[in-house]
Amino acid sequence: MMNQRHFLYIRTIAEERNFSRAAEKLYISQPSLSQSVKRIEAQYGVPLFYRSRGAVVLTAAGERYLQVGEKILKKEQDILFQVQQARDLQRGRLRIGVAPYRDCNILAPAVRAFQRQYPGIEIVLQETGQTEAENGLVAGNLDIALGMPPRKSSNLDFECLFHDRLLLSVSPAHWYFQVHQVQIKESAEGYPVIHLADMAQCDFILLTNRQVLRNMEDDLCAEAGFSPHIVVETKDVAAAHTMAAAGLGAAFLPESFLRFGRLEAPICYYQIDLPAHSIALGILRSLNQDFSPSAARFAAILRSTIQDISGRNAP
Amino acid sequence: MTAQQYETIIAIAQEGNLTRAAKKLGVALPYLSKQVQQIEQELGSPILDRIGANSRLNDVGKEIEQGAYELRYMEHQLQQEMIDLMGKSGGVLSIGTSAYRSVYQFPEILVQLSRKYKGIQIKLMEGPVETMEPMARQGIVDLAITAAPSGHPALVNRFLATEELVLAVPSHFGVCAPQSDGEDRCPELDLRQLRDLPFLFLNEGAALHQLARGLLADAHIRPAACLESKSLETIYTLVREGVGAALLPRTMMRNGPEGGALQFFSVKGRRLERDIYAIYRADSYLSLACQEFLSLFQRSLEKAV
Repeated sequence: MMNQRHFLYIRTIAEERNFSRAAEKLYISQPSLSQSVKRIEAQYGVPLFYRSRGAVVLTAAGERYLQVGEKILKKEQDILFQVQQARDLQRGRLRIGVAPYRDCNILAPAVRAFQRQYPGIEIVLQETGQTEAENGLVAGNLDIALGMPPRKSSNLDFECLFHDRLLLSVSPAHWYFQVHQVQIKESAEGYPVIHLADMAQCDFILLTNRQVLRNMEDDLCAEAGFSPHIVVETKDVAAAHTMAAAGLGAAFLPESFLRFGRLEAPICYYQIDLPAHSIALGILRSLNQDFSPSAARFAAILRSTIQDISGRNAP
Repeated sequence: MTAQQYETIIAIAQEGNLTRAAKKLGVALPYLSKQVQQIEQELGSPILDRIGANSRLNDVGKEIEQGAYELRYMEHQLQQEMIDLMGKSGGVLSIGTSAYRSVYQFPEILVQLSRKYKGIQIKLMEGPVETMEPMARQGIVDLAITAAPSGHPALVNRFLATEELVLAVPSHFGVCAPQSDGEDRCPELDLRQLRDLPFLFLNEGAALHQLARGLLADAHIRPAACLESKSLETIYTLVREGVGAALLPRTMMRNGPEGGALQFFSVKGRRLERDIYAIYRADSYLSLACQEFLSLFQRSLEKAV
């Protein structure tokens, strides 16, 4: 098979048109160079040079050898690169940031699929807020994150995977429904639609102030024309949901929790009769460094699992 | 990576076990193990999954294997080109084909070819139909002869000829048909005579399988006992042994030593045939010897029709 050294021999002889000058340039003896050329010619079964008294000239085969040889050597480089990529998938660490939900329902199927395919790679899940995820990617402490479009750093790339929206969840047995008129319309597409303004007097379980989702919750209530009475604040979306199910009040719930998660408490979900407040979620990565092979593979798996789930559970 | 290292990896991939790979390469097992260790050290990664006595290439190893095929192919192509440029003969021509063609259709052609291209080494890679496309794609063969054209964008399907098919029926089944008018045409069988008689099929996926199934279905015949095999050779042998009837290429009838145990029929009002293609990589250089092979083969197929 072609090798770098042989190729260099032939090219140098072709350039110098003379065996001894070529040998000098290659720092080998002329007999040894001649021997090598003979071996290469024997290997292919054709002469690579015409040797005449004055000069050494490439044959047609020799010219082809140099043309194709370059491609072969380039190909070999490509192969070694591919091999290294495959090697990097054999072991190592993949650090994934999850924002903004402190819950990895969305990630679970992808993590499981990745783990099965690349058992040698240790997965580190870092459940963080959006800002921490952005900082982590920029600082190189995270390889990839699932989050919202970047707000702070322009060195990040965002690829939207799906749009999430907030639903209202409240127990159907909640006393509020007995006391207040609440307009609820059945909807052909998924959950019934609730007139949010009618919930003005209800107790609300909201997320703590520092989260993006909380801003959306506040905006929704403001648009509906009331400032909610907050009975509990929690950091945890799933906790808010459980409390709502227990009859404590109403809570906002990202629809992805229903699609991707397994929430089993008896509760009703309503679409909100206000313009869609949706939130884009997708893959965040740093533009400063190449995607590691494992991060690239994980991104591909995440794309397909999310597509899979959204397709299957779309209301 | 050296040429030797690539060959080592290919051997392990093909043999699936270090002992057999060492045998194939003609080296001692400890030497081979040492070589593997060295490759693993150079790459900084294992290349094998060791499962009991067997060694399977892991993803890294497989990547090298694929690369090795590619390099081998490029190198082979280069050699062919150089040989043709210098007006020499020699080199290697490898052809993927079903075993039945090697037996019934190639011998004459290959004799002519090797006379014209002295020193040429012809490698026949016989295998079932589904292995033809991958072999052509990986450049393991220069071309593959098949009745199943490929949809792969990297491959070219070159139509060669239409091959006539006949129904082969064991004589002891006692079916009969009037002699047909055409001098070279087999007697035309009324398919209903095959009702309740066993029929043999090539494996599903083969063009011939579909053809035979369609033929019987159109005549509302459900064959009594079906048998499937990967190889036309096997089917032919079983038909000759009297196991059942089958749809076969006509070339088998011309050359086969059936000795009266078989009858051959055509079907009234139907042309039984299939198209034969050569498939090869779109980026490949077809050597002069290769082109010569194709035209010889094409002519012999046309003659048979």
